[in-house]
Amino acid sequence: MTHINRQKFLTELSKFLTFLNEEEREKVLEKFESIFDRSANEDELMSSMDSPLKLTVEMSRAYTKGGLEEVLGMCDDLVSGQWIPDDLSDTIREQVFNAIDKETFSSIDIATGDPETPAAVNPLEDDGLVAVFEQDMKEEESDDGEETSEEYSLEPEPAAEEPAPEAEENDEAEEAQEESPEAAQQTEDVPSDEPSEEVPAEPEETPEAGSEEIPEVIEEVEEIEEITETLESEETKAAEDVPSELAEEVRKDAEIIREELEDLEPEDYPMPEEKYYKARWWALIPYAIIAIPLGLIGVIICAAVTLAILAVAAALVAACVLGASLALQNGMDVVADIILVAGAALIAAGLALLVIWLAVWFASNTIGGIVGGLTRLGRKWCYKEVVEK
Amino acid sequence: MKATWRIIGRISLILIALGVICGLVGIFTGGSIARVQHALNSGYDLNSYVDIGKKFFADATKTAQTLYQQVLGLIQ
Repeated sequence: MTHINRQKFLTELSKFLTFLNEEEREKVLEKFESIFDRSANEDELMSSMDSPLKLTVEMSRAYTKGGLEEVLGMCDDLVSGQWIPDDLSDTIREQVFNAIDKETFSSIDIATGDPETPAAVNPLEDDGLVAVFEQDMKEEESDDGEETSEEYSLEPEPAAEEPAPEAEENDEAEEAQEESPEAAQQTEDVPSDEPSEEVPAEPEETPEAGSEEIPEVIEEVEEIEEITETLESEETKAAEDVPSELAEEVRKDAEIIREELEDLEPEDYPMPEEKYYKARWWALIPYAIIAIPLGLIGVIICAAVTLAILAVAAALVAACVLGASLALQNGMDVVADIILVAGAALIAAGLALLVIWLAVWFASNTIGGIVGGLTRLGRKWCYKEVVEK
Repeated sequence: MKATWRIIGRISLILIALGVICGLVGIFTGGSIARVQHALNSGYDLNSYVDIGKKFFADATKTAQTLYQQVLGLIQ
């Protein structure tokens, strides 16, 4: 059952990998085979994997970006479901690391609650991360109702619970502007739902707000730790969403190309190039006269060697059969002798199998090599490639 | 090709290993090669098989030599 699934998977994948040439495709398929071989439980691996089409889309992107090496490098992660497109993972990872950066929080003076740097502003208040959480929040709301949305909400707390959160955050933003222009820019980049733009700052309340900020900072740290854990699972979800996003991008590109083509005049259309081979008869005839007899001689010699190897294999098979019949019939009375003969027959069988395989390998490589080599040489010397529009 | 080679190699290795184990067990439990040879000679006419093999190789060598001479004659 496992074998059939695996075979089917590899066959489908092979059909989809049309953007690779034959050699590259074989390398990719070998890579997947080695992954299957290494896996302890193939059923589990198969169930955890994406469809061949999804994998192909990811590999196509990687191939465009970094060629075959990039594709081979990502195979393991793709199969284990841990691969995330670079553009997504970099953003998310950067934000996660910003969120849990201890230096960021060590810069906050816990005793006074006075943030020294603009980094003390919630680092999660960034466009990309907010978008991720808002998306997650919407999904959770649709599944679990209001309870979950409260848990993951990034909106400011109600006024009853926190006396002046707007004032505190605005105060942080103002201080950040004074200390560093970059930080000021960061603060200005906060989305429109930020409290800093909705409510003006009240500097008079700053000291009181600072004293109340200690538990809030601790809460914030705890909240960020929870969010970090959620983000890790979010990365996996984001990776699963990529194909649909990619499909949307491809659709848009196709639309743009179609519009451009519609604007073109008929004479501006790119004409497809047609390649064909034209025979050089003056070279082809002498080449055939020389190459065919030489090729035949080579093939006959190789066939003779193959036959000799097969004769050895036949002798080994005969020895095996002889030993087995002697051991099974009543020719011998002593059990130790029977075991001895059976052992010899088994060794002969193993060697016969190896020698038969050697004969097949030799024949396919030598005879196939001679024929293929002569054909390629003939095409190179005796045919000319002509390109026509 | 590689996958086939891997499978055949493993099967051959297993067979040879089993054969060696059987042979050793047979020898250590009192098996005698002389008795086996005697049984073989009494059960089968081994000399005739050896003669058939020799004749086959002699014919093959003779055919190869004839072909070689003919090819040399064609080239010259």
